[in-house]
Amino acid sequence: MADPLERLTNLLALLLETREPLTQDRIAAELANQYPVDLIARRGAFERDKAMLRGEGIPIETVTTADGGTAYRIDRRRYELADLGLTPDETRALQVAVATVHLGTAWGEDALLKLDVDAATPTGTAAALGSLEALPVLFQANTERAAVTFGYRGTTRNLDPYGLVSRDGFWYVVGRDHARDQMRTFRVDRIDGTIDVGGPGTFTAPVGFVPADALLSDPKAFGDSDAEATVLVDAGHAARLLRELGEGAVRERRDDGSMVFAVPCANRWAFRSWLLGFMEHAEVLAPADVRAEVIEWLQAIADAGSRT
Amino acid sequence: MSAPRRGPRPAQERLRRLLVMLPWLMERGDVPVAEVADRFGLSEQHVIADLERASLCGLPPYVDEMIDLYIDDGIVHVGVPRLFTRPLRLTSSEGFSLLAAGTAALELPGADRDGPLGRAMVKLARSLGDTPALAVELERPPLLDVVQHATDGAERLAISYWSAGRDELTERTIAPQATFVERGNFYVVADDSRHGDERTFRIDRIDAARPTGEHFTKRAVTLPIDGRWFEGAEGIDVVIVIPADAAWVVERYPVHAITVLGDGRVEVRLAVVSDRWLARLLLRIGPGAEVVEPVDRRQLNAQAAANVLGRYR
Repeated sequence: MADPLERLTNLLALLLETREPLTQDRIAAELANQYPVDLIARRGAFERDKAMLRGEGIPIETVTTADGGTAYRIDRRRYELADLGLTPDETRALQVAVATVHLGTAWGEDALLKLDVDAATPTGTAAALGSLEALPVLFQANTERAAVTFGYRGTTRNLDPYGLVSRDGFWYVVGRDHARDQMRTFRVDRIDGTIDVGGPGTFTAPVGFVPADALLSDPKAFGDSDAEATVLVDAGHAARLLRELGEGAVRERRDDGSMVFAVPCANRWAFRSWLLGFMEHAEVLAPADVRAEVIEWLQAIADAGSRT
Repeated sequence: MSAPRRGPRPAQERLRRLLVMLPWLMERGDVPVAEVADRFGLSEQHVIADLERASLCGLPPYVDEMIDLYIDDGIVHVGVPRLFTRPLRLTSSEGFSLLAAGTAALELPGADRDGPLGRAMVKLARSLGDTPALAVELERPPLLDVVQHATDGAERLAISYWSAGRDELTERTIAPQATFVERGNFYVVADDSRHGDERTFRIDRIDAARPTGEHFTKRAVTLPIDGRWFEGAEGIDVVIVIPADAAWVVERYPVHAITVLGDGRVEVRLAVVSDRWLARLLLRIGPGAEVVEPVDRRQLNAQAAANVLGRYR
């Protein structure tokens, strides 16, 4: 059997060289003896090759012929990497960035090879940003202004992806949710299964849109209200919290060094998780229902333990 | 570059390398096989195999000279370039990675938005389509600049540090070797006077830092970037069962093994630094969490809950 690399390379060359789109029959004839003679096997092999080339990002165009068949070609201008016009110092900066920021994949290094840039030694602070298979898909949909459809916590969402944000170690996609006609944020690692991408150019992002501004800054504030709880924090932990929340959140300073802070609690789950991080060094004082919920939660844990 | 891998290589991967190797070779003319192998992270054997295969490719009327190259005496010779003179455009994965890496690097200490990297990002974004909107936020802890300055200048720092594992504030002197960011948190790898060994500290947990004026000689450190570390090395291995809706535990912390139980609950094995740390995790997960191993920690969550409840009585 012929080496699959040879047939793929020939197919690619043929589609790049041809002036007019070619049907599968024409392609098989041009690449004499490289595709199986049996028609069904030939179609299977051709579809696999086509999928593989497209998987590499090769823009194979499909044209419908006069008699209703399908023909293929590749526009060389769309195939070739455009010259970015980087100056030597800009190239050098990009090199260092790729060496310094770890995405956990080889995509960045592959890109540098195409740009004919050597790998560099990292300098300064190294950074690790997680990467996910869904990110390039969402990214491309964003640049093409194409709507996306995906499953999220058991529901199907249709979204105009306005942008991507990495915050606190997680990636978020921000955009307009079609069903709700409102701006929504989704955690990319929580998206279920594959993402369907619609046709390009179906939306425009709002003028001056900044993705980070669309994200709520504090998960404890996610929700439909601006509810706040007051929390008493022991002296040993108050200084650190003060640095985090700022002077504006302080409601009371006590003589023993402990402090009372106002903290968003619209998202009860996030609030409780945050509060329990202090263990016995913090106590929610008000509102009464939030305090009662925390007590109930702790009581359930204590009771579960005494039963075993 | 990634190390050459073993076993048969998928055709798609070979094609990917070939399409970037060919334009690179055409630009240069004659290149030793060893140099090609090194550059593209392949073995010399694979370079020769794939290039010879490519040289056999051809379409009428260019049956032989479509890809005009031959290998002789360890040197790749390239003739008149016809096809594949330019690399394939960036894939969405590659474009995303470059932009994400560059955008993140602009958030790191010492980065200059108006400098070469900032300009490179503008050019890259323009080539990738209709102004991509991608942001990387790295919240800098207030003491980052002090720590970074000491790291760059190899100067010892006296710090007050809150250890989450032991839940205590400690005073120590550290020799900061390198800083890094992971999952949105800034860390410093340093030699710790308290223990006389290398430790990783979260910079936002440093309550105070004072440069001592005392200098040290820096050494090469391997950054623990892959989530497989915890401050304070002496960990205990625990097995806990968590409800299905507490899957965030698996996302947040490095777990060694995951088993989904018949009732939908999940059993995870992970290393924890201390009982205190484990108790905090269990309180957050709630009444559905159970410790399986070690057996003497089974009451840990109930005890911790009772202890916190003490405040509310």
